[in-house]
Amino acid sequence: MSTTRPSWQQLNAYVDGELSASDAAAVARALADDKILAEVVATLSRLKATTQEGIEPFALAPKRPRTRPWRRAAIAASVAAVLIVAAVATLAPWMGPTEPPAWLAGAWQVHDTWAQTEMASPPASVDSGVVLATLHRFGPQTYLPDLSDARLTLSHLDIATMADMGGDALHIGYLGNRGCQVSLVLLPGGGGLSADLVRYDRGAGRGYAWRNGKRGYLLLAEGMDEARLALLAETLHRATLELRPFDPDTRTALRESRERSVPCLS
Amino acid sequence: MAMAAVYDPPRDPRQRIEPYLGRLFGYALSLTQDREQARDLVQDCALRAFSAARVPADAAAFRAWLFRILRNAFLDGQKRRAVRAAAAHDDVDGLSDEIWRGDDRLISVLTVRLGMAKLSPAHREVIALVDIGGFSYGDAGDFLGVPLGTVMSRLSRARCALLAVISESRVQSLPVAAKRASK
Repeated sequence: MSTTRPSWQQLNAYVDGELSASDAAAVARALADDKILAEVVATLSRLKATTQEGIEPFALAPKRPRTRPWRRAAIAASVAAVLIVAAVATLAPWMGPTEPPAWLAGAWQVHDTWAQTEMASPPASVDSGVVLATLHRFGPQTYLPDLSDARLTLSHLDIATMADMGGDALHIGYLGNRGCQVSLVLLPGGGGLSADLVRYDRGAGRGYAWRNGKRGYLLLAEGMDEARLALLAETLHRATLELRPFDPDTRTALRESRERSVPCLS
Repeated sequence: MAMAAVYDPPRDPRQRIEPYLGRLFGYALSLTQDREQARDLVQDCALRAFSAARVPADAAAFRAWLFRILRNAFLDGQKRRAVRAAAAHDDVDGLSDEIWRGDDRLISVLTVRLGMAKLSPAHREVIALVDIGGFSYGDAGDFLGVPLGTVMSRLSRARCALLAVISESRVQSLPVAAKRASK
């Protein structure tokens, strides 16, 4: 570096320790001879230090405690409260866990395979061409709910062949940004389901199933906040009957439910 | 950037990411200017990092890898072209290489934070990478895909803009414009 006055860029590089030893020495000499330059470097140093000082501590969302009995009891109580409110609000008939249909294990297998594949590779959004091609094959009246208010993004779409189903089903995969993976399976024959919302459990997994006309619906997730999943099931149950976009109150409820929920991240 | 993507022996990924969380959040905040979105981005980044099959073993490469995951997650939700156009614009803005002088007493965590919010995305990002992320100019250049000289000029302009915002009308040019010295 020449003996001319250091440039603004060089003063910044000096503060950042990015100059070579000889260039840094030249700047140091210039600072010794120029009080204003020294003040500028002091200002830059303070600016850098203050920016670093502003780094806030950050903690990841806690792991989901799955094995503590008291936690399960608390979750069960909150789920019960949500379900009672939802039932009163919607007058929708509710049925607890019941004997699962024969094809349910196959549906869980479809969900598990997708979930493991998604975890092994970066999530990607579904290409619109894939959506159109799939819908063309499955039928024009197919309902693909937008769950973005629940911070769940449509990330997977395919035709799945399930054992004991007697036909193809449409598998829709949604990903959250805190580790949640939710499957919605559309069963063209109705799957022998009733119009009522029915829950099927599989360990930490929860399945909700219902039917509207000739089409059956199955919502699957594992390790997801139970109150949040229950609200999603209630919402989709209602939406598939009405075939309308979510109203503002529902969208708010989905957002707030997500905010309150325990992340799936573990 | 050339990253040595080697298999990392099994260990708790949380422990490895934790030292970077504050810096990642600061960087996410510089990108989004929204605390809730920034939190989600860091969570998303951690989730993707946890599920990665191959993780850089070297600390510097690991940090750059984390920041890149976060940046890609952010850009996934953005219009990449718009962001890149803004970055290109920032490199040819009208700021000169004059030395600017601010009032030290106005520099605080709060004024810096508020000032950062008023900078262009490219200026916020380069300050966040170097001052918050701890990137060297070379690493920041590799990360952003620009030459080291661009990082140097962009950063100096960004700090000049930040000082100007912080000091508002109190910033004044030194009486003698600096001459560009040859290295």
